[in-house]
Amino acid sequence: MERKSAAAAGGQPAREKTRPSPATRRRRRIDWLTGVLFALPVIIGILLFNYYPTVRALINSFTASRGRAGIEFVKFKHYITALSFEFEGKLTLQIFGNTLVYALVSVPFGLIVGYFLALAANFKLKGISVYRMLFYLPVIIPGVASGILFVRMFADTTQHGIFNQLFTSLGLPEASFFRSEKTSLITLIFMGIWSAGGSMIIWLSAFKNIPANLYEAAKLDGANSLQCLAKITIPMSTPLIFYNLVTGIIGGLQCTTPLVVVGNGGGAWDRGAGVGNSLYFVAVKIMNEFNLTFYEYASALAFLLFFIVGIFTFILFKTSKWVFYGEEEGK
Amino acid sequence: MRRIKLFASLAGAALLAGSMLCGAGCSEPEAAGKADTTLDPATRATIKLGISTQNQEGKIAQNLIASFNEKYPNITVETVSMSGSNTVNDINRLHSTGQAPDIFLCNSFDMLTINGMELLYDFSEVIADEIEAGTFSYDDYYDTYFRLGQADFNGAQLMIPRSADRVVVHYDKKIIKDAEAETGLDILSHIHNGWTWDEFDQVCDMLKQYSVFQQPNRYLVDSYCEWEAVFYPIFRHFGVQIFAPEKNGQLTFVSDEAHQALDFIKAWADKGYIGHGGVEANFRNENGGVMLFQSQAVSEVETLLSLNKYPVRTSEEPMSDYYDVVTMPVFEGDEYIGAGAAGYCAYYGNKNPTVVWAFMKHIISKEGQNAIADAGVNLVPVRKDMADYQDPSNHWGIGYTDYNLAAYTYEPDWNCYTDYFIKPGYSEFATALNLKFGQVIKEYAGGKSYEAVTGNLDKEIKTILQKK
Repeated sequence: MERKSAAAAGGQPAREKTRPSPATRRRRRIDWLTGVLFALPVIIGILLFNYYPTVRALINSFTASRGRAGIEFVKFKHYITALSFEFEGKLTLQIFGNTLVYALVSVPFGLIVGYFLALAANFKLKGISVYRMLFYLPVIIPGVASGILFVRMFADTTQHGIFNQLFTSLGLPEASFFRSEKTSLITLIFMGIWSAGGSMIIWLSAFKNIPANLYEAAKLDGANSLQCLAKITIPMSTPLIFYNLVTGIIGGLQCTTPLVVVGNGGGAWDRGAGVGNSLYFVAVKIMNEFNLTFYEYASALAFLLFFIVGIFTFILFKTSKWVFYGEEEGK
Repeated sequence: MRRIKLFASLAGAALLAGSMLCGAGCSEPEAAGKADTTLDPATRATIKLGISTQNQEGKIAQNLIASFNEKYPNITVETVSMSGSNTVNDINRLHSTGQAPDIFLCNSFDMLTINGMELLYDFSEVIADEIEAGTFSYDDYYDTYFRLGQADFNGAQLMIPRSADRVVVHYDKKIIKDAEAETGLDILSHIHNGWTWDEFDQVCDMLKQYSVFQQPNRYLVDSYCEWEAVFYPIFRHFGVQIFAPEKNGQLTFVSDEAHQALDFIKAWADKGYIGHGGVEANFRNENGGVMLFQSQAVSEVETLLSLNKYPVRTSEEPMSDYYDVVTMPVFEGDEYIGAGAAGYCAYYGNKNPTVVWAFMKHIISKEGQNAIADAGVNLVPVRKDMADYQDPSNHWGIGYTDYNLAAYTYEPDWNCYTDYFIKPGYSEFATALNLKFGQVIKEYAGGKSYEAVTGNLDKEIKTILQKK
């Protein structure tokens, strides 16, 4: 109807919509069906293994399983238990706080360290590929193995912790690392340097994608290295910085590393919580609640985390004007 | 595009509807009827047995099935693997997908939690029939373990215990002998069945004089003080009342009695028997502690010790020269020893209750109990007539006659089980509540103040009860 009015207003004769022949329609239908059939394994996979558990968890978060008596709809009871200060609100706040601090500090920190590693690995030196491999090697070491390694390294001198042995040999006092509420989170963030090789690779690929003529032109105009970095390298790398930020923050919010690092220190209620819950992260809490058979409560926590991840992702996308995607049409 | 949207919407709606239907229990099975006391040996049937994938459980199940099939050759018992670390999760999941096994391995606390979901079959009726027919008597078995298999530990029989699991102290004779040689003290004579907490203190104090245990971070005991089987006998002695039945189950734990009981346990850490902050003595590893509070069978601990190449000995020397078991210490005149039970429960919707009961009866028969021992795990039989481990017809003692296995059966009336949460609405939280009190003890022994560990306890218990 709208189209007809617009055409009439413009004085153009309305193009008559021709109905395709039965053969064409049949061919289109077969094409559509063929496409759907090809996509079906993926669609089924996504529905079964992504959407079904998600929908089920969402439903669970509003219910209480009574076994044979069936499932009781408890409305927002689990959310209230998690958020109300009458119950677990204070702990929930602390856990979400820890998780947010970790995600918001460790991701930019990792990006910066990765950037400097990439700069070092980008020099045209003989044997540079060996350095690149050495920087990247920790990324392929399983998290459990590196976690155990770091627990040993951060142990006190009686447990032969390498850092504390180094400190005492230099006449410095021992550091508490994971054994103190004040230093646990910082130590965990510091541990992130270990896997900075991952973002180094992404930075390196960003550097390689920057056209060399941009640097040549800048040098002809008298730009120094710092100006090249600020005006060319960083702006041209923003899509990758943005990608790293989004995936890094989502990954950080879902982090379960403390379970590996301090997992054995806690009981069923606080496995992986660290001293004074200083390393208690949301994903770890969800796992603990699930193991204590409070599945529905765990589902509610999972959806609270989902909500937080959603908010951060939304904020990141809404504030992504600084990302440079090249010369776009019309700009 | 419109078709794709339509397709996606339909798929989404189907998914949601499917979830709701499954969640609402669309495949809820009928409750199994009453079991018969007799079963024709020629009966053809198939039942499913849920077993843990941990330890020797697979082998025990295979032995039980093989010996059961000698009586009932046409009955197929299929095994279903469960995680073993979380039976409640496993059964709830298998129930909701309509795949629950007819019989499954369980412990007494998980049994209470699963019973709160009404997923267990009640054997009381068939047992009553057996008693009437003169084919079954509770007197043939240690009372504690059958009680632990009952609803609220005093009601419907929901679990058939397969072994008499009691806390004993596994101890390293070799280290003690070395300590005696260095210090000239007589330590081993203080360790005997029925020994008291005072004697335990004396032994620990003497061992602390041994140069090995004067090193930092060398502790004596893996006390597992956060384990209810260890802490509850001590609570009982001090008269701790955790919930007040007369006050509608109100928490009454925070009291002078509880403070005294917690102090008693914390003293082990203060005196250096156990480490602060939950650090245990690492009994199982070389150069570890001397004592381990456990209900494990001797064979399991011995295997672990051998795996850790500890203690170093020549193959000719008997292991019992190096390592032995003794009863858990008691308070003189007020004796309690922690006991628990592992056994087999049946799913309320099991397909063939008569066959299930026949299998259960087989588990607690002499043949069944020997079949368990033949799997290589010398679990203590629940039958009183099999207590004599020196008798070769009781297989659990074979290979272990040098050990003090009487520790497992010494003064069975001293057995004490954790019943503090037995109250409608609480027992389904049995596992969680037990863990919470264990955490309180561990934190207090670990150095936190009494106020810090009990200050929020009321609120924490309320929160636990709110989570379902």
